[in-house]
Amino acid sequence: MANHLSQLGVLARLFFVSLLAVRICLFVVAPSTVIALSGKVFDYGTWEPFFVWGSSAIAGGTIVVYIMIVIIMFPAQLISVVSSRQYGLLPYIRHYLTALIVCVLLFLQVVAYCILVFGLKSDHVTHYSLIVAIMLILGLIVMLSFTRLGPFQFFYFFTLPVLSFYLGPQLNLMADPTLVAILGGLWVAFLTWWFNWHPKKYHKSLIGISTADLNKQDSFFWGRAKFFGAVPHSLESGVLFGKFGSSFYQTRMLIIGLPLAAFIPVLIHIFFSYNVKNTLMPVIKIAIAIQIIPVGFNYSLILFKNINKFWLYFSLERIQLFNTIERNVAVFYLKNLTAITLIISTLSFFILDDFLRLKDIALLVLASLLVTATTLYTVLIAYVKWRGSVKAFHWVNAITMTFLFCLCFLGLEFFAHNELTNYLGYLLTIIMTCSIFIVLMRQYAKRLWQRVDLVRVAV
Amino acid sequence: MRQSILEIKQLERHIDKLKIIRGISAQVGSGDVIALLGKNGAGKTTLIETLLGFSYPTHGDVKLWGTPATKIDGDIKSKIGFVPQQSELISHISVADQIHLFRRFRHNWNQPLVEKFIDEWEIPVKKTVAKLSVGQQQKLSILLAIAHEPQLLMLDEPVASLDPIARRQFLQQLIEIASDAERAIVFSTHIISDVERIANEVWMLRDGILAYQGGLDELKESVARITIHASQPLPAGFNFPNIIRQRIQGNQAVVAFSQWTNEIGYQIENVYRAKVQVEYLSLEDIFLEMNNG
Repeated sequence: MANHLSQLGVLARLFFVSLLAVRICLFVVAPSTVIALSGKVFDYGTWEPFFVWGSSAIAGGTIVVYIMIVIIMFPAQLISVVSSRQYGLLPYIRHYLTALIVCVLLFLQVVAYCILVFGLKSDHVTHYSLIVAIMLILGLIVMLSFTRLGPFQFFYFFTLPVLSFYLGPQLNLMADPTLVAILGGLWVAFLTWWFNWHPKKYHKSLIGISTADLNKQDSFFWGRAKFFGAVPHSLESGVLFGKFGSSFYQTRMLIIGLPLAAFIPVLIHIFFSYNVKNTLMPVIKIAIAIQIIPVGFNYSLILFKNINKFWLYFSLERIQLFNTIERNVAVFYLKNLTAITLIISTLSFFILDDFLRLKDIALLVLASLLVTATTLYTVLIAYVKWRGSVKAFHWVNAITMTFLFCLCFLGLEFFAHNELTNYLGYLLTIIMTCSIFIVLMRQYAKRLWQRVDLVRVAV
Repeated sequence: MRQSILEIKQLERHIDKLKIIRGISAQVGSGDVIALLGKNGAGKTTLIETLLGFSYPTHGDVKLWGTPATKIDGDIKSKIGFVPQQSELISHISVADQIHLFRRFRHNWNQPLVEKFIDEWEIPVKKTVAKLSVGQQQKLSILLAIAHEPQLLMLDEPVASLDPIARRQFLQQLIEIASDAERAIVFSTHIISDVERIANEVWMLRDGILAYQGGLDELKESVARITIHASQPLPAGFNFPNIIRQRIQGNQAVVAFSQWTNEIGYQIENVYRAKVQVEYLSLEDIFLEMNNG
């Protein structure tokens, strides 16, 4: 009994190390909970408890985000443990980690099952084959994330759910013993690889990793950066946006964004039975999320960290530095917007048989403009006020981004159900308020920058 | 009784068509304290990794307690402690949590030893590993490697990042471990004085082979540098066996031998009508001579 308790204690400790990172809790759970709750508050239907599988795309998106984080972060974290020579010599570590993988997969499978059965209220599949099919698909996704099939693993992750959309009905046609045999074979192959894998090098944990190192993990793009034309077009671009310049981010967004944006409508269809052809608005929402998340978190942090480096190459005064940064970010924003609009237009034309409507483009432009402008001035103000403290910046940025997220999604949710023209007055008032707010932010930032200390960013 | 802990037979390791290890055979038994010396890039880290089973050998065998190194089970792993050159600990958890995690896995945990070193080294237990300095991370790695009193301790440049006080404290602990006849230590280092303090055997890695493998005292007694002053010009090169290096200029020469005997000296005096001065070298000078320093 004591031995079993001791083993459970080991498992619990490993779970804590693998999954419960404060950073994830702070920057994902908290904002996404706020987003989900805000969606519920303004739901015009009956009031539903937070975790019941209701019709709100925001709540469903939150759950999707949690699952995606588990699928992406969890394998990466465990691979980091196994590849570490110090942890690798802990007795039976891989056995304990296997138990952890099984527990997490079981949890995911229960979540997925509940969503499908209780959310979709699907009666057309028997529960038994549904369970096996879920185990098969989820298991394959997680196992592929573990085996890290070279630089293309990113594509496997996003294309697999799309394939599942087509595979699902096929799986339903298979006899249960066949499904079980496939599932068994999958686990045998995975466990054989898992217990015999000798990593060539140490893979750093994704949690707590610096942005520069995180970007290097994505070796497909960074290894082929030159092929994608990733050469900075100017010294400013190279210093402010990293050694590959700002254009690289747009190229990468196009290549990553397309499968990502295609993947989301499929998930929405699977979870909420929406007709794929009616998912233009959710796709717009996801596009805004794509805008907010990399621009609001990733690029803004890069910008924050590189301001003082840029100053070393800059020959004019501080206020000209301010203007130059604004100009570079404006160009970056336009390129970003172009990339996202292209993605959405492509999707809407080829998958949804519909062009992007003017209303949708207008909402996309407004939301992304709000995000980019607010992000930029948040960076510039935070840099001065907290003397380059990344910790303070993260807090301020997270709160700002969460607020913007809620605002954009609420607005989009509202106008998804209501005609724009009926509320033009209100919309114009909101636009004016936001514009005044941004102008005031700019003025404040510019005033602070007259006498800014261009400090090295303190991590 | 001396127990065989590690056996290496004709070990070869090739990486990307480059022969890093070219055929090494050796044994490590209980009571051995082996210093692994070699230039930067000689293959010390690669050798240690292969010995512990982290990588497959290209040819040859490595066995730990009779089991192939790549197939060791949890029981054998519990007898091994390892300190890598750079810390590979999870960076987002605190020192205290790291210790708790390792303690969970180790049966033979010496908590008083852990507390002693936390105190002496002033390791901040509440900080995450990411916030520790390089030296503090190294101290933590050492602590985690020795806390369970392993029978085989493998250290890859463990003191490179330690301040002199911490280094002295660690070496004292290592001497205590070394005095236990049931345990073995293999450590790579560039600090030669540490080798002379604790090692009883030296492995000198050069060009993928062990250029020397034997007792420390025997090494110091067998390597000598002689200065030759002759009455006539000396030849371009000497043909004596076991020459490590020779520099000849006119009537004078400086030659280092790995297996020096007085008979060689008499021979040189007679053949070249020269005066021979013999100098026995320190370990550092031996290292320099053997690595063309």
